[in-house]
Amino acid sequence: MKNIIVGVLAAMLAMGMLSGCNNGKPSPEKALNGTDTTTTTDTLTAHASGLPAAKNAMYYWRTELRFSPEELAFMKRHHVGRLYLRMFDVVTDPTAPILEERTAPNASVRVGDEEYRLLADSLGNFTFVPVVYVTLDALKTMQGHEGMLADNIVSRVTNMCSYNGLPNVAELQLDCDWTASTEESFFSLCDSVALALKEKDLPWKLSSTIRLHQLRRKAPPVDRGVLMVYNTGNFSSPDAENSIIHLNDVKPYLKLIPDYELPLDVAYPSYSWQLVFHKRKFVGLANGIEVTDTTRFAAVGPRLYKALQDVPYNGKLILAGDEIREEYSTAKDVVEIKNLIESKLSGKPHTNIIYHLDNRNLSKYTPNEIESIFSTGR
Amino acid sequence: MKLKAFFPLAVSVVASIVVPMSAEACGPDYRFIPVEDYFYYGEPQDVHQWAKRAENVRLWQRLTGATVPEADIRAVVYDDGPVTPNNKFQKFLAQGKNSDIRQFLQLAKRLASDREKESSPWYYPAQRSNGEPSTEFDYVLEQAKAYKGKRLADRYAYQVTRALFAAHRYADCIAYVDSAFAPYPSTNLLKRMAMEYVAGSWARLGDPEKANLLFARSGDILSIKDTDPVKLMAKENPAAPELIAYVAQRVGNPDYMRSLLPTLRQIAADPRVSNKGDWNFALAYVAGRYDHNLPLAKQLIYTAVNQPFSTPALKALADAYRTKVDAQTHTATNLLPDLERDMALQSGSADIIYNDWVPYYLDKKDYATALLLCAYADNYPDRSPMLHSIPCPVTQPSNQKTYQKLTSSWLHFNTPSPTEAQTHAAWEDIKTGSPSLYNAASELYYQRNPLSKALIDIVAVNEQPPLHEDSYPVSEYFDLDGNSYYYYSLIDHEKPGFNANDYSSLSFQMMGSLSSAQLEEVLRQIQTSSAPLYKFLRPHILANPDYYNELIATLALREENYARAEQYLSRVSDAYLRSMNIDKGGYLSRDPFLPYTSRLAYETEWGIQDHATFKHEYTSNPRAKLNFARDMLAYQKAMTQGSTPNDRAMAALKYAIGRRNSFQECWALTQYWRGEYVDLAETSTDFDTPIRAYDFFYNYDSGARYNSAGTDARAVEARYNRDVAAALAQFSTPEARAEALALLGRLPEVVKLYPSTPAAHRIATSCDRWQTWL
Repeated sequence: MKNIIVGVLAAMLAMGMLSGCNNGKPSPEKALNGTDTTTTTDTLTAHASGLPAAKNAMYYWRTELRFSPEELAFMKRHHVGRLYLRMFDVVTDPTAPILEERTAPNASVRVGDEEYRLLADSLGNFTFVPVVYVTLDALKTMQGHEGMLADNIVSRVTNMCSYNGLPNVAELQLDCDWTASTEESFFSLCDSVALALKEKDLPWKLSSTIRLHQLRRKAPPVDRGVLMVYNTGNFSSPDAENSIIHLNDVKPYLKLIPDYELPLDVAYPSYSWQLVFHKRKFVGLANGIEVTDTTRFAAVGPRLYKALQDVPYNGKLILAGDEIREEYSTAKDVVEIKNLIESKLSGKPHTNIIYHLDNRNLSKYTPNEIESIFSTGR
Repeated sequence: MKLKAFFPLAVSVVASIVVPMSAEACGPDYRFIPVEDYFYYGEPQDVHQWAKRAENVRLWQRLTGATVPEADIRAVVYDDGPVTPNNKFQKFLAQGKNSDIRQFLQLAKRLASDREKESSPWYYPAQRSNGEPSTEFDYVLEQAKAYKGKRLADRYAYQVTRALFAAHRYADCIAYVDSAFAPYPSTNLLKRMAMEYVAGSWARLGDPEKANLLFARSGDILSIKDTDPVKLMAKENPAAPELIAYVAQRVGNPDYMRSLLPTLRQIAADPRVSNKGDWNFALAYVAGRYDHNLPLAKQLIYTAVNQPFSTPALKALADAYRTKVDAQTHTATNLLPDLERDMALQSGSADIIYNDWVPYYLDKKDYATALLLCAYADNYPDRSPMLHSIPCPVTQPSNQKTYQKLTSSWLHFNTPSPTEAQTHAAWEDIKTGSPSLYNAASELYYQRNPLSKALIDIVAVNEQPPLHEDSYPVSEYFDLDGNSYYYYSLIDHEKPGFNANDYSSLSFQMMGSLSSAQLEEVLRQIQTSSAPLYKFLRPHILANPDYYNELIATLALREENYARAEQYLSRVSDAYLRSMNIDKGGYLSRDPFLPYTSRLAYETEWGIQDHATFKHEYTSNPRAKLNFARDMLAYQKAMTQGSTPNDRAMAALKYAIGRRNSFQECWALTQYWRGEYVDLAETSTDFDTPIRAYDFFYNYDSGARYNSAGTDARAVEARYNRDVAAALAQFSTPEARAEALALLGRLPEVVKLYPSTPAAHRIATSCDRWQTWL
């Protein structure tokens, strides 16, 4: 009966409850970048290298494109004019009878009629960057057949853009946690996507997310990268201080930024979560556990709480003794790191992007804090 | 009563020494005894599709004036690739007067291709409809509108229906079908097929009841949602083949099947149902298999087999199940006709023989009939009752006989198109004698593809590669109590060269469980009986006398009946003996009269690999058993007729050593396998309980499957110790006794008790290993 929270939270994690994707880990991993040579709606000056205009940008990582009034107001107040929209994840389907379908799109973003009209109307001046998250399993499945995967991605993204009326699309972004063993395959995918775009006569640029660890590797063959400065630590470690963003996790990579072969934009987190540990083993993500209820939880460390009794949560149970670690991306932490990164970018034109648009998180920041994150200090 | 109670001690000695091992051993093989699912049928969706396709092909054929073979039509209408140049339907289409058909087929294929794209997970429409009708498939509507002929009018109407549905114009689809098909009778195939789209349209328009009704009437049982599809189909369309297919697919679920019984009875009694055999078969199956009500099962299955069935395949299954029920109820009067019919129909019944008939005759102690049936089943071609004699879609090889052999076992009822690539590759292998033929056969075997049997047969005939002696090293480990063996052989059971007629045959194992006298009598009965059943079965068992003589001799060796052993072994050819796995494994190469004095002293023969393992290379010694029998006879004679007491004592000592070794270190003299989990008769693929009738193969003295220290092994050791003590007591001089002790490896005793003997002197001056003095 006491089905620990493990299952539920693991499911939440897998379904990308917080992030809106189901890439199987606490997902903040998206990227940005932009290129944008053709957009006519930008009000700011484009970068010298044909890069994104200086309008503010954010990621949108939920499975349904729906803006709350607060989110619309937020974007207006902060001059957000560019959205990196996750279109779908590429996952594997081992049961598929043909190779082409052994990978398949999953959790495609849905655009309702209301938002469809919004895109054609008041959001018509926005720039949209479709983002496709490619799981490592999918990449491995299509190793040697990256061209086939690229064609499918490009065809589907272009259809999704036209079907849903995404305005001012001039860039496609790939998001993948490639490592040394999959580097060649991912780079091949990038090349193939660029080729597929060209074959479709699409003047889009291609960008890629760049995780901190990927800074140590050769840059992928894309036009631009978005450095993901979030999810920097190991969320599953019970001893981590803050896995969302922590200076100690970022510091080792700072020196790699100046010489990185790609022009970079930078994405910073604006989310928080609760991590649940059972017997020091990570069992899942949560949000909204009332850890300040001292009848049920006791603070046992900075941002660390222990359940004093079994506590129901979303139909499951947090067991007495389970630990909950709250993690935030405070403006102070983000800005501190951002300033260090800015210094390494040495005045190179770039955009700071916030991951991700969700009023539940953004409402925890003051307008000034948001502005300080967006600001590139130029 | 368990059969093993009637076996002589020596038999169970063989068994008791068998121990479970994690290491590879030389056998026996895991015995695959199939238990068929007697109520198998095709997948409902396949049945649904095939029935329509078959009817459609016949309609096209009628259009051609019945001059074109169905296969040619099928190739053009349903296959995507290029057709062969001599395709008669293609030629028919090329005629100018048939250009309308050609254009129609091009349209239909284009639409099918476009719709297929939509079914890809990568598909995403490029345009939002915004409530406006999609124009994506308007080319279909336009071409249909332009067609003014009559012979394709219903076909065009069907394509328009598909196009409207694909364009998500569901209301239009319904209205169009109502209008366009109004002139056609409800039996019209295209109209019936179009009605499925109407059903789908209603489902999407939010009227599931109407949709379900239409789905049921069209036979699309899998599309019925939110209601009991069987009940609905039973009411609306009980004669549909999809209904029996749907039920058959769930036949492995006893609770579900029992819950269906009222509906099954209702269908069986429904006057609209002509295929009553299907349903009485289903009822019989539930009664027999789940309710264990064999009288009812028998009554129902006998009723069923005399009624019409929806397909010949299901009728064949019902016939097979009737024989199963006969076997379960011991209705032996049908056995011979069933076997004769079975051979003729190739419907397969080896499983019935294994599961029901052999245990029955064993229980009656009718070993001859049990053995004949078992051997018949062992040699029975791998014909599943699911096999169906649909022509094989493969290029016919030039060798007609081989082709027939391949194709006769090729097609499976539920595998309409085994890949041609596999077939061609296998055929190329056959033609070229490629060593990969066996691999091809193995691969197909593991895919449970019936072709494998044909290929393996060919391998058996044509591909007997020479044995390379070096390729069969053997490693063994004897534990210190002498009862457990660990060994493995690199004889690869999966490759040519392994003798599949050796101990891995269940009938061979059954013969091995008898005494030599019993087996003699059983074989005599088999050879001389004029009973019709015996006459039928005799040609189907192995005829090679070596096979039986060697086995009787080995049984005699177990029984210490060395005279009988010598008599039978003298008749066995060297060629046969060399083909046996015990010879190929080198197990007969050991000296049975070497005392193996200490089981730590492995270096006495093969050298120490480590403290417990030794290896030796393959050495063929096919006459080992015969030589052993003769030596034992000589020792027997010398034990009583030796010229001196010491000669008689030494003969007795050698006899004791030889006897012990024949069950232990030289076990291959009396046995065919050792050190393996003997689970020979357990069903491995189906749901029925394991066959316990073959208890004697694995249920030894402890009642457990494993017996690591059997009482029989201990009895062998006890007898050995007694015999050795008795022999030693017979020696009349210290010198002779010292030699005997030295032979037994009891060196410290020799030196201590008989220090003045030549043996002691030899030991003191030549043994330099400290271990030998311990």
